[in-house]
Amino acid sequence: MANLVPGANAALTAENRGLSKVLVGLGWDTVPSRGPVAELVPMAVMCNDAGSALSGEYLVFFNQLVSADGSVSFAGEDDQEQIDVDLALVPAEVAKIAFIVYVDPDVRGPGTFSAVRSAYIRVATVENRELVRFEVPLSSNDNINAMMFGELYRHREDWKFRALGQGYTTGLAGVAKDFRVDV
Amino acid sequence: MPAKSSPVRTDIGYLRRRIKAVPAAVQLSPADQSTTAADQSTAAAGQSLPAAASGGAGLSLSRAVPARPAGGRPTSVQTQPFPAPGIGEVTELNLQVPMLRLNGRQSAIGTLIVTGASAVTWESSTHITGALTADGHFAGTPVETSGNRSLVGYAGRDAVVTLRHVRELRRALFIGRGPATLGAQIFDGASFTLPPRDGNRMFILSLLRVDNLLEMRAEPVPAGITDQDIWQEFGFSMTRRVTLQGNRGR
Repeated sequence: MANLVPGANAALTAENRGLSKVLVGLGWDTVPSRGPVAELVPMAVMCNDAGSALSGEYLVFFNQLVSADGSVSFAGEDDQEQIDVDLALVPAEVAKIAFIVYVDPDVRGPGTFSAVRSAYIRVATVENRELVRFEVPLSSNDNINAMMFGELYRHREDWKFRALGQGYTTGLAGVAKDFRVDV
Repeated sequence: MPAKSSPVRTDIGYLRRRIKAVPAAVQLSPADQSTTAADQSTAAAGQSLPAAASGGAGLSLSRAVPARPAGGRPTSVQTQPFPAPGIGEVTELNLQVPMLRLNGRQSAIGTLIVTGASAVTWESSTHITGALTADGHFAGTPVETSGNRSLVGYAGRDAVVTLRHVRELRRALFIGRGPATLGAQIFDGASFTLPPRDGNRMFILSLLRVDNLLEMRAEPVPAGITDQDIWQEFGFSMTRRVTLQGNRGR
């Protein structure tokens, strides 16, 4: 198991021959509150080589549990969220799959990542054998309301994982703009 | 009980007999085959209806075979809903265009804001019902989400629905008695309105969750109808709740 730092990548299929499916787990720990809390929502966005989402149907989250092609699906909540990725089924036009956690933009004080004490993303086999883990660095998060935790991406014939930890101050709207997708 | 004056709703699929699609030939696993054999033996004993032999209309108790994409994974919506316009195609819901449907993203991100609603009524997926007016009068039982916000409530004078927890909502009604126009807006800013009161008729906004999608309908009702009569008309019965005591001395 490897612990990554922001920007680092790890070869998945090249170093694990026969790996055709992976489980991506995301989790976080927040400061408890009796008042309205920031509600973190994980999401996977399937992108072409220009970095744009293929379409809204290739955006996978709790209310759209499976991608249009069936290759990415929300599977369970053993971490805060577990996402199954069938690498063999991912369409050829998908160059990367970004894993994002956004603060739900509720009009009644949505909050930010400031209440998040720790967060991680990990990639494991379908048997839940962990391959890589990234502990997301959380400092100065007072105005962060969406964060790209990491991404799976194609590298020649293989798949790799890159740790990111890139925060947005523009929330889900900023994410949608970056990925050129309607939400 | 006041009667609604709306004409027959041909846009509502469940009011019409459905034509069942003929299921494609399915390669059964051994487990499926054994189950089917058991079903057949039960049917032979006369304890269940026979499976439909054709794709014709009528009741069928045969095993449902959900449509699956090539990879064998289930889709989030197993059956396609009947066609309906999206929020971007409609500026006003009325008798001619009585309903619209939000997609899975629009149904679950941020807050549904309903302006001009003097009262709102809800039913959760666990059948907890309640109602609240813009003036703060309350009936039934509130539904709080894990984010410590009410599932349906008010933010200022606007009625709001927490779409992060849309799966906890079954349906809601928004009653607007003017003077503000009844209308709704979603996260991306798309919006629509309902017609104003017209003589003896007014429109209320009905929200229904079907699987992961929200459907919005303009429902005409008599203008003089009370909120309680509207609840009754739409089959709402307020859930009673116990007022909890903070300290029982135990």
